[in-house]
Amino acid sequence: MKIIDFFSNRFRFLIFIILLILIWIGIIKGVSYFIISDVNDNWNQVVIEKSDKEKELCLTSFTKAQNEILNISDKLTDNLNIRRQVAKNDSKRLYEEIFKAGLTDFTHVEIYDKFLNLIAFQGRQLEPEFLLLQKALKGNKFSILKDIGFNTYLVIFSPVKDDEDDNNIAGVLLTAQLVDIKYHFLNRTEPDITLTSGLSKSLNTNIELIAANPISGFLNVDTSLFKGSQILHLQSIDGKEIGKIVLPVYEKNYHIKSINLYSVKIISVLIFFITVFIFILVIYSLNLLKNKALKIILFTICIVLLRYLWIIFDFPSRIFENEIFSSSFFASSFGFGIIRSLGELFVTSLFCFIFAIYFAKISAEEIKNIDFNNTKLNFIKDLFFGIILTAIFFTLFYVYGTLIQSIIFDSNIKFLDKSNIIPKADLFFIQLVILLMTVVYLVIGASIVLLIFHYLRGFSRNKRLRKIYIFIPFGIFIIINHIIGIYFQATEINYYQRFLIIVLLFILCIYINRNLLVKREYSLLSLKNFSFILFICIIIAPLILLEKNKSQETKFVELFGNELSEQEEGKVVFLISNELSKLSANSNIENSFSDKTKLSKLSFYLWKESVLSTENYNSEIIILDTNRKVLSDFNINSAYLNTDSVVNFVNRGYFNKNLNLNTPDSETDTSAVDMDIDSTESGNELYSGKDISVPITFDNMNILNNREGKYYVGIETIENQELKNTEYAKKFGYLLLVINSESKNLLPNASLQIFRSNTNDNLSDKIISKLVITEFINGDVINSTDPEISRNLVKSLEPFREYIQANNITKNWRYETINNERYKTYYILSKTDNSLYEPLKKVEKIYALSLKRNDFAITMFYYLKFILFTIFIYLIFYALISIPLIFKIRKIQLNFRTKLFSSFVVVSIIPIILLAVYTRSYITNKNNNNYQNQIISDLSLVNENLKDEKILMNKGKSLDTLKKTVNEILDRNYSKTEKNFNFFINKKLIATTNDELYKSDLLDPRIDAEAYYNILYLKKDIFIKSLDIGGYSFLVGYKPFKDKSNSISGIISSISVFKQKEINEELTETLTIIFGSYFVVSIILLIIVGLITSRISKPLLELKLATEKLSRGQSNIEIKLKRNDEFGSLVDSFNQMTKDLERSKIELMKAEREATWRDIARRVAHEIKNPLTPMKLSIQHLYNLYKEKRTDNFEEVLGKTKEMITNEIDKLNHIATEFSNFAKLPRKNYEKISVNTILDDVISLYSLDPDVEFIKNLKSDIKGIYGDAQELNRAFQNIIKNAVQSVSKNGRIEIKSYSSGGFVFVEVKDDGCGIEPDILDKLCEPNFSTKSQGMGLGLAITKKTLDDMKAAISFESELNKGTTVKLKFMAYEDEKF
Amino acid sequence: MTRIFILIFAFCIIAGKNVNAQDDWWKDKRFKDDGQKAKYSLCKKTFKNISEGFNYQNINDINVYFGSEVYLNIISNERGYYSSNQAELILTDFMEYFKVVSFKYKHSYLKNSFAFAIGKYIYDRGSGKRELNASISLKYIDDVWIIDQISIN
Repeated sequence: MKIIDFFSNRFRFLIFIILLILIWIGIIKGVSYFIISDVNDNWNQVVIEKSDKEKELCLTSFTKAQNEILNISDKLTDNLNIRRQVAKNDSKRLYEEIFKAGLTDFTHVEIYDKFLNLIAFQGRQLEPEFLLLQKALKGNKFSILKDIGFNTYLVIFSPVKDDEDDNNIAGVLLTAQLVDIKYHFLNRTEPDITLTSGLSKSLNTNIELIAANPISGFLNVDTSLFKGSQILHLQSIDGKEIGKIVLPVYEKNYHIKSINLYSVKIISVLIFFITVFIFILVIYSLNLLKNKALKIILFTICIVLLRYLWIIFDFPSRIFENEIFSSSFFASSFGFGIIRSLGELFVTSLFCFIFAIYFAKISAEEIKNIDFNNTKLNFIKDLFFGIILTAIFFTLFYVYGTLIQSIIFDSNIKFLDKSNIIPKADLFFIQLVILLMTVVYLVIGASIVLLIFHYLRGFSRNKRLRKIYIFIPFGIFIIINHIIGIYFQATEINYYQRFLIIVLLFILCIYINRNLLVKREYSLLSLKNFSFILFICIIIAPLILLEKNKSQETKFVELFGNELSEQEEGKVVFLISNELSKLSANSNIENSFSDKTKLSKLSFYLWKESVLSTENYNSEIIILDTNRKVLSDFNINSAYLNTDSVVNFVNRGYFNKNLNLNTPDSETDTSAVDMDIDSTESGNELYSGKDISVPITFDNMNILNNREGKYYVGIETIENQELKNTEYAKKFGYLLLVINSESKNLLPNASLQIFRSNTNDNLSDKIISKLVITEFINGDVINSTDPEISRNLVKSLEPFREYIQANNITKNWRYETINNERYKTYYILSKTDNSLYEPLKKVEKIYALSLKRNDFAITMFYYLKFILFTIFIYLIFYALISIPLIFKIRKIQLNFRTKLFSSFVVVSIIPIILLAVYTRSYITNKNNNNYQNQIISDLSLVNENLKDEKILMNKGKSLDTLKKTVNEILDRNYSKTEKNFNFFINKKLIATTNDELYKSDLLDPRIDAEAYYNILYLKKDIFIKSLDIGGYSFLVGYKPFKDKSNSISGIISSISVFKQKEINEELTETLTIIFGSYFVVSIILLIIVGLITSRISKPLLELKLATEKLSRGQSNIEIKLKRNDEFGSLVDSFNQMTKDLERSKIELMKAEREATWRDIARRVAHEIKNPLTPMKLSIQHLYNLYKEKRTDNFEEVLGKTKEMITNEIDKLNHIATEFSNFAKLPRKNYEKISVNTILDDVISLYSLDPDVEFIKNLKSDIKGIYGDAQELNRAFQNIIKNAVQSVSKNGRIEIKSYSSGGFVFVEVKDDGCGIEPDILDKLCEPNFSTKSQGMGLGLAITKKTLDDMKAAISFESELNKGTTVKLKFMAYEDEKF
Repeated sequence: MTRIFILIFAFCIIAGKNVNAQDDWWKDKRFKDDGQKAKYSLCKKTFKNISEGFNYQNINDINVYFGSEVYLNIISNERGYYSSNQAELILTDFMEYFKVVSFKYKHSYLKNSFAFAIGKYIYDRGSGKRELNASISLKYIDDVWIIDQISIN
């Protein structure tokens, strides 16, 4: 019946809800189908509506951006101070006014005077056309779109009026903002804020912005771009067309897909709710089952099915379309998609967590269900369960290890990320998954161990085994671990890790088991135990992760070594041919030829767009015109590739030899498939120069190899795309793609960090330790990332040579100690024997890749970072569970221990946190100061150097000559150092050690406005500011370069661009170690504080408990605590007090007992005496009659005497019975009883009395009480009998029963004579009676009975009106009884 | 009857042409050494199987040639070394998103233990055919050609 009731309520409701959601899903499907068919029917209308909306959005956004700039421009031109300074031509004041305006970094301003000389600026140079400046000077305000390189700016030209005369134009103000950028560089902030990127993102398409020529208004663009696109005309503030936006036509498929996606999103949310309801339904259903193993099996099936339901409906990946749901971070094909991405892995781990909680709950039910008094060891059954659980425990090792291995091996996540102390989203989630899975593993493992303890509990009956039986499974586990170690060496978790886990788990389980046995408490998932589990996590998880990472690292070092040593020809040819075929189709090359500003940046643009920017090669792109003159070049590393030598080589090897390899005929000479073994003849045939080998041709491209220079050049002719392959073909120039094949871009000095970090080779990400790469040629160190270590490796080359000769292999791991530190090095002999080029045949090239073994710093960093992460998660968890407490804050009363603990925590941790914060700021400041000092000394040095060279001696030198001279000096002295220097004359850059920074548009070739102002106008000798380049922040120092007359003739600047990544990593490492160590100390402190507070508060708590017991009347209390401090004395005093109290109590009881006996004896004697006197008199009277022989009435007297004596004996008997009833303690039979039933029985006894009218008012819904039915019957009889006796004829007795607030009340009300107020209190005293016949024991017995049942009795009475007796019983509740 | 012969003849010519067209990217060579011959033809077969995998959107034709690590450079995804498990899922996602119309090689290169082929991956996402440059490089390790790099941009 209960089950049916159960189903009829919750089950029916849940099933109803699930059905409702299913219907909802059906409706959504139907609606989306209807909408899609409607879209198909009326597509033309839809496309018009959508396109209009898109157009409107684009145009509104453009107008908004234009108005924004216009507002800034108006604000500046309306500023009277600016107008005054422009009129006065006071640059200094003008700069001050611009700085005051507080413009953002993205707003660029230039101010020209009425002679159109630039008098002040901020931001990038805008290179305005002279004609446009003149137009503005005539009073016209207008806007243009301007391409500067591959950046497009929206520029507003505003005339600046004289502050005194509005009709007089004093100058021109240009205000600009970046609206489009054609390439994305690193994590620069600009692309995200540009107008086009914002629009592209919101419309989910690629928007092109085309700027018209600012003067002619002509659009220089390939017409093919317009096909299938909408063109939006952009208007300037004066209504002229300044450019176009090319918006791809709204696609039908995209529209239908987005409708489908929308419906799928809603459905997946509904699926989530369905799974929640199914989950609740399953939990309810499983609660009805008794078999716990079956419960767990069914729950596992349910949770697996629900997980797959989520997978099928793509929940939550459809809702959160985040990149963590893509395969690029982590992907495994295991389990039909349950871990196909990092996001799915996280969801799966949450499901596992739910399972672990359920498993712990069910095992807790099993463990709690224990009869401590009757524990028998059912040997076969318990052994069976024990073996099964042990097998599961060790299988879990395998599963957990496999998972961790998969996480490491199938992921691209940089586990040892030093770039930031706060982990990135991918690392955060993967660490969370590892933490969750470790917790899952530990919770299930602990439950299994506790279950094994449970099944072995029978041993606790044996006195010898009682204390050690829990060590039996521990011993067995250790032995099994050892056996696994012997027979299965290649396990996912190694022997020592398993041993550690077993030991820590057993410590936890023994603690929990002790609590169960001693305190009868079992809670695996209490906050304290959870903290302990997390504590185990931070010990074992990083240990296993580190070990896995290290084994992965070894594999990757080998791969890295192989990559380095392998002949690069194939790869380089592959890369060049791949990129050339891609770049040849790029329409921007042709377009850029007509635009000088673009042409100079074209090489960088192509480099950035190509795969070269992400490869570890030294690479270069050169654009030549038809006369083979360099138009544009971008070189990642000029130390390895020199533009002039490459161009010379191409001239000799390609143009001058007139190898017209583009013609189809050439295919016969240079086969597309060239197999070395087979085609040496053709190679020799064509090999005609000492440095040129076989040219390789594919279609239009040619690839040459310069053996001497160790590079490959790909040559592609730049032609008009439309006329290509026709007789009208028009050549613009040549594109050269150069890759250095020998030296990879891995070594120091290779290039600026900013370009190096642009590479995305995750091989190096997986190598967590610092890898030292050494290149040996014929036994000499040629390149090295750490020369000191490399020098020590030379001695190992000979044994390596011997080894490879003996074993006929080319690679080997060797172990060595360098500077008292152990290293392992992977030596690999490079394969250069096949080289056709004679000089290379004799070269012995060996690469050595060294890793520190047991790198303490790395291990430390790894551990501390994981600890910081775990603490962060723990604090979040703690905050979440504390939320309900916030609402009860007024009710919280902290106990002594908590207060003491909190005080300790505050006192011990706050100084540590303050110290950590201080240390952080100290280190940051110290680093900044160091860099500043370094920059100052570098600038002074280069200043002196330039002065010594006397570059400015001859003032008549042209700027070009000057440029050349300074460039030469900088190149000669500083190009090989890790220093950056730039030389500015008259605001413009004339020489730099790092051309690539300016060619890539990362830096403006015009000097920074603030620096210019500070040096030139404020006459500062040094000016340092921080700058953001490509997402990194750098320090830039400026110093004036003075001539003999001490006037400023130029400005030297230096940027701390080198090793920025290493600097950031070092800072992160230091901070992690500081914060991590502080937190470790804090954890240790907390444990110590916990122990101290526990020790301090323990006697107080025991005293409190003892006092409570004392107040309850228990006096034989002794606190067993031996301490030599004040607490010890206090406990001794308390124990002495309780002993004295106990003794006094015993004496008092003895005295009371004696007094009671005396009183009773006196009363009994008195009671007995009363009937004895008449008996004595009667017998004497009878004897006298007999003696006097008065027989006349003897018989009558005898009869009377007999009757009188019988009566008196009856009285005596009555007295004896009464005392006996009072004294006797019958066995009580306490149970749940109904007050109404007993009242009914008693009332029926007295209801026959014709003189009394009984009014029953018994509530039927009252709760039961706990008591003895017979005793309560007697108690009610006593009360009702008294009431009957007190009423006269036609009396009324009303009996009521009712429940209220956990109590049951009974009232007996009569309208009798009442009781005098002064005797109301004595009614329940023994021997008190108002009745002549009464013994005064009736109510005393009633009181005693009620006291035993924890019930109360009270009387209310008024003379001659009546009495009410109130009884108050505690209602029956399971928990309390 | 004559018509049938003409049709069969025409079919043979067209089919023959197609077969030849398909192999334009590969130049057959003659080898005396059987080992080299086998290596050479195995390389061609590997390239062909991979192209079939792309043409039929069947990752199982491709993933058999994955080593433990594969270098991927796929549009809209990160570039770098991926485990075979990852590479498989990344390519599946890619082929799911960029529905293939055809996959053809244009030319190839083979030297010692390294070979590559460059071609076109033509796809259609509902807005007409578009093409991507696709290149695949192979490495000869332990008598089999395995995929070293896949680049689709």
